[in-house]
Amino acid sequence: MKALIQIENLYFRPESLDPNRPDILRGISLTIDEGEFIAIVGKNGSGKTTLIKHINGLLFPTHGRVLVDGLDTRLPENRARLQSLVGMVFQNPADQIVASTVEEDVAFGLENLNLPTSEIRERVAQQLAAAGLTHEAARPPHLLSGGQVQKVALAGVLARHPCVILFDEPTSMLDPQTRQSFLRRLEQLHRDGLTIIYVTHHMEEIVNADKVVLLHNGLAAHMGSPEEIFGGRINLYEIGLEMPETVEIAENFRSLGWLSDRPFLAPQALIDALPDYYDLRNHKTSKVVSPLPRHPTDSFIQVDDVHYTYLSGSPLAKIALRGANFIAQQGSVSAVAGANGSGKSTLLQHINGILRPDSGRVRVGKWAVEDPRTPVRDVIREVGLVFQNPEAQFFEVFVGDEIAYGPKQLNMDRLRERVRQAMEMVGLEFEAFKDRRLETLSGGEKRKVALASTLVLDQQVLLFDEPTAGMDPQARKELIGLFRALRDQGKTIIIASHRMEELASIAENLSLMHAGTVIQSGPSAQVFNDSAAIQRAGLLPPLSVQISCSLIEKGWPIQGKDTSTADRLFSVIKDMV
Amino acid sequence: MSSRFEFLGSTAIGQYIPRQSWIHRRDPRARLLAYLAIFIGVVFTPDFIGLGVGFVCVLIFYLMAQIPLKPSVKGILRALPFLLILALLQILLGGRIDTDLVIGNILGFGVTQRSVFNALMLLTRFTVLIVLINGFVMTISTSQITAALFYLLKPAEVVRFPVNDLLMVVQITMRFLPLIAQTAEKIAKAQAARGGDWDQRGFNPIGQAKRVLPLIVPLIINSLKRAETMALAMESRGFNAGVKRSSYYALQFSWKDGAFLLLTTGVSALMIFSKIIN
Repeated sequence: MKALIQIENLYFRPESLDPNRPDILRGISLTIDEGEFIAIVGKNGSGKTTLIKHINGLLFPTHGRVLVDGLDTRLPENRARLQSLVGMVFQNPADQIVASTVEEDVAFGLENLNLPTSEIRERVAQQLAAAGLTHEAARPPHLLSGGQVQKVALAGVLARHPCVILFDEPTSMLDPQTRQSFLRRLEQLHRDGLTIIYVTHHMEEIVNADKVVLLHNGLAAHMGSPEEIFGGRINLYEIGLEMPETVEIAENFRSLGWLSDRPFLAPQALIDALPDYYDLRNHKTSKVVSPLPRHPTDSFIQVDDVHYTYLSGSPLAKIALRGANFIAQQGSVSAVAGANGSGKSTLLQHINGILRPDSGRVRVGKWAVEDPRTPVRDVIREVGLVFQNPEAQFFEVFVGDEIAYGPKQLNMDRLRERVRQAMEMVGLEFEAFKDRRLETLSGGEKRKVALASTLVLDQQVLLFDEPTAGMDPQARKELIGLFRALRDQGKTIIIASHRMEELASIAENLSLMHAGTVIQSGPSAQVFNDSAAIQRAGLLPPLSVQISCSLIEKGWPIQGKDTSTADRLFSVIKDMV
Repeated sequence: MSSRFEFLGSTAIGQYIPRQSWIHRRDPRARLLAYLAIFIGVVFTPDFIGLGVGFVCVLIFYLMAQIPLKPSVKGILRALPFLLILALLQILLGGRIDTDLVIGNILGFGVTQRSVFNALMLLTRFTVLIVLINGFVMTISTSQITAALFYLLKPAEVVRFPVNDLLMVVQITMRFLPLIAQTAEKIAKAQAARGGDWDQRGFNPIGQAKRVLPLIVPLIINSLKRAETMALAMESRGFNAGVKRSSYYALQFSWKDGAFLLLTTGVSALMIFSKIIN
């Protein structure tokens, strides 16, 4: 294999950086061979994006050098050649689309090569067909789903026939099935010989990589095959990461003496290695306990047959809800799961009155939210909503002002005290942060400010829309902890998300949404086991449920048991052997 | 009920309706110039006959292009309060000459026959223009506009006119307008969700302005950030200002396009010179 990319002792420090802060990259050396699949992981702010931007010359080293196919990225005469060798897919699908129709965006990179129109047309048609987007060719990108936009972005890069593609957290906005098909496409590209450099927060996406690079504080802390990295010798938690869930579940089973010592990284390998129940029949069997059906006593939140159409009456009208029903009890934690575009966000925005239904009823406590005479502000006092990517919606300059906006609008007293409490709740020190400018904060800190600016209103009901999108494992864990604390304070919590593993760890009730309606709903232990409904909603059951399904096929009598998290699965199995 | 947060609905851009009509099949250059001709006709025609000809012409467009009239009617209704104010100002403050026939008196302002005629002309003219522009955006996509401009402006490259840069600016603007509308929607919702007052109570332009003004700075900052990412995305796909580019569209100007253009130019001339012809 030929070394395609050589990174030699790379240091990077932007000129605008505060002199007290260390360099962003501090001496990284790395050689990447042609056709390799390299995964780069590390917590937020560890320098992942900065590193890959050096490979296509968007950034230049402060010290050291980067060679791609022998070309020094710093030399201007290499630029055009470098751009055609290396393509890049960015994190936020929408921000990388340049043109106003799909086909034209795919063509953009080819127009830049000054190719004849006939060849551009041919390559665009080819890429659209490969991405399954031929029917969307003439549509404007802002009306596509996130998954489709990410496909457009990839098609636009592939059309230029690059040798290397850089991916910067490309799946962070995608729902499970879309994400899976994206990963399959990625594997295909890798098999076809493309060199892939892949940045992610999700360890399970990179178990097939040739090499994993762990970045920590601008240094390549570890480098090795996935087996070496996830083999247990490296403390990933210490540097803000986690093991792939398969490894954790395998670890549990190993303690039962089931598995050999080799690491299990891919779910299928683990499933294949699990024993049939037949082999263990001499062990004791346990009684099957079906979970008690719970009857709703007091539905604090009640959504009945709600219909809603965006831009109704215009050529762009889009039906978002088609008779959605939803209930939640006071003090409960409910989850709304569904693929992108299934109507989760629209449903949440009906519960706090931001949107009023075209038809149907919405009750929150004593408020009839669907009634236009109910002032939105009265509903807001009871119901808080944290939007998706809330840090994109800041409108003040200073942290303190941003958080104080809500209480000021609602004329609340003890303003300073409230802001202080809210900041402490999310783990931001009041004195240190209140006068910081918002744009100087890191991504993680911004997210905390956004949470605080809703929590400061101390509402009874809290709605969260895709709260963990783009977060690293440690931040996700902290957020789940915050949800628990809020639940213990007696708040009613509703979380909309497509990350089933996270929902499983916190939600008591689960509703599945598909195409604007709730297709299944109930206690989460039951709904998580309903694989058919989960599939229909465009989602995937949590890994532990997938494994328990395989165990059932192998004869294990664990039907109907709550196996929605790794720990629950393990305790169910442990009881039986 | 349409939501008070749907800014996207109020932007005309992105309302293109793909169809296979005779109008849609015309070369974008022909369509662009034809619309321009009718537009000029409507703007400069001196009397109702001209406007009537223009209006009939626009209605024929709608029929041929198979596009709905409803969004345009909505557009007219939305603009009506402002048009009425303009018309009233025209009646009250329109210049007067001695030969004018005074037909009434409002608040001490003399109302002349001519100013009433002018006000009615203004109302009709704007109505026809709104219908025309809506028809325009529904039958020509933004990419067709840029493609048409690419070829129409190409000769200007000879005199070192930066056609590529200009077109990129047009294209990115078109791409950004719906994004800005969507961002405005998000920020407005975020404010409302935290107690900001977004309840619309009747017709209240000052309240409306008070709500929209605080959005402007965050919108600009947000758009700059987006522009930065997009610039990186463009650069990584090989865009270099000043380097020769080709186009995805190869346009073909047929005799039908020529006929279409000739016909609309004729109608436009008819409108502008309707008085002389009479």
